[in-house]
Amino acid sequence: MSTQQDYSSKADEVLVKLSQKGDMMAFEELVARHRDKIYARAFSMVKNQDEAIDLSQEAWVKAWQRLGQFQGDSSFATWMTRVTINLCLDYLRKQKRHRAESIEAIEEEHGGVERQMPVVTVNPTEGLERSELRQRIDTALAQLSHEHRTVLILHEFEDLEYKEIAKRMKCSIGTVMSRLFYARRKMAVLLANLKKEE
Amino acid sequence: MNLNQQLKLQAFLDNELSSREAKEVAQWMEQDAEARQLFTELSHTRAALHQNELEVKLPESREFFWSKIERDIRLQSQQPVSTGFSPDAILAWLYRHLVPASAVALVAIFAIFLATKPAPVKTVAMETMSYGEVETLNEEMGSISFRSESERMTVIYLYNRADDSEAGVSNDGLIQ
Amino acid sequence: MSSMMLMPRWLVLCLCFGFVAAAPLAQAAEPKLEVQLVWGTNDPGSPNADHKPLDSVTAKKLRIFKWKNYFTVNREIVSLPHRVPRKLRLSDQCEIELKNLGNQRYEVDIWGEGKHVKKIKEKVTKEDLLTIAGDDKNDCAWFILVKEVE
Repeated sequence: MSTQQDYSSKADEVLVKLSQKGDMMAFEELVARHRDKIYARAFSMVKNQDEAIDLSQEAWVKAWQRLGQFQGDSSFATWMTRVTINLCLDYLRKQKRHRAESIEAIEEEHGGVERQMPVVTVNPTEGLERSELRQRIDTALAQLSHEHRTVLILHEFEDLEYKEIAKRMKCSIGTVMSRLFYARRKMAVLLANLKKEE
Repeated sequence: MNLNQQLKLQAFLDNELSSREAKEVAQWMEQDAEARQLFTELSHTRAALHQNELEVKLPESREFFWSKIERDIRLQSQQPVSTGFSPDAILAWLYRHLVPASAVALVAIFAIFLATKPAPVKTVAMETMSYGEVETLNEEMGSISFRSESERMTVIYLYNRADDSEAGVSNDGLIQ
Repeated sequence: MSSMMLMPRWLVLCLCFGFVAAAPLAQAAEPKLEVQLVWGTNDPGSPNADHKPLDSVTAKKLRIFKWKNYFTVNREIVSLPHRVPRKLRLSDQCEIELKNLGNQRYEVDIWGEGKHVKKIKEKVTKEDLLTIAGDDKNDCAWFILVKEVE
């Protein structure tokens, strides 16, 4: 009888094939391997621990249902991340209908503010330990709106092109470009301010 | 510099321009200090973000996290579409795993029953194992299961497979 | 009766008291389930005058569905000793059999139009409702609501 130990030595591709045949233990091993990454992606997008846990669980259940569609064009981790991102985007869209927006957020969303930001000349990474930089980036990201944070995550951390981001976020490429531009400019200001506080 | 020009600078940084457009932007930047400054700022931000996402760990144990996924998979009562799927494969798996496991379990239960006084024992496993099971006894009737935690209600919706295609029957069609 | 008359009076009184005391205790061990057959519709009323509007607390739970109005067609409360099945005829087309599996888990067998359709095992408490539902004519729906009661 196979034990969990047997599965831990198998490659993702093998586990996926076993899971596609209905082997839940193989799928459980995939979950264990990638759960942190998937949760982290959900959390980065929704910025709420409970929702991120629920969304990542939902993503795993959806992945189980759609395993037959996974053809191996990308790695399982990449495919799984895409499933998660789509779920999070759906969730954020639903939330947007109910979310009360501050005037600042509305201005941010509709653009124009970024043109008034002075250019930041200081390099935000200078002299920083990697762990500290990561923490500052996380703090700064949390201060962006959901839309701006999402476009930054998809472009900078998921390496998606403008066209792909537009498709997933269900908006135009022009909107992606302006949101990305605003998000980067805002990040530059936030990181510079954090550096000043040293 | 207007917004279109600024966005072109960004697109140049992100390799989203055609080679002709990229060449135009490069030439423009050579002559425009403001453009170069903005480009530098965007480059710094991009470099800072590159591979510097904070690592976050899931704040739940492996077993607990998996138990909820497993429960939801069972509730949804769906099998993955597999490339090597066949009824024979399922039967072989069942025979290989469940028959010996059931035999061992029966022997263990009998041994425990003989050795101890049977009494209702409430264990953590039984507390958490509150998920339901749906057994289909009529192949014409399909079912969709879901749980609303806010209403504390488990719903099992039955539908006639002959009337509705699978694609047409989903939670979204029933629920507002 | 004649043998009882031969026993000392105090013993007879004790035995009677014992039976009387034991009865409610025995009842307390058996959980009770309320089962309602409900009709969901967007029509303002039911054509059957016997159908009463569903209580507001339960109707609120059903707001996740698309129907606006819910009417109780049949309501029964049944005691369920451990592992002893009880059959209920909720309507001409619908019968269910309930079984207490212990630890607030119940097995519900559903027969629709004489056919054994589904067997469901689920945890049901006073707060956790089990809802079994399906389509009815004219874009309406039927619901079987199961919950524990006092």
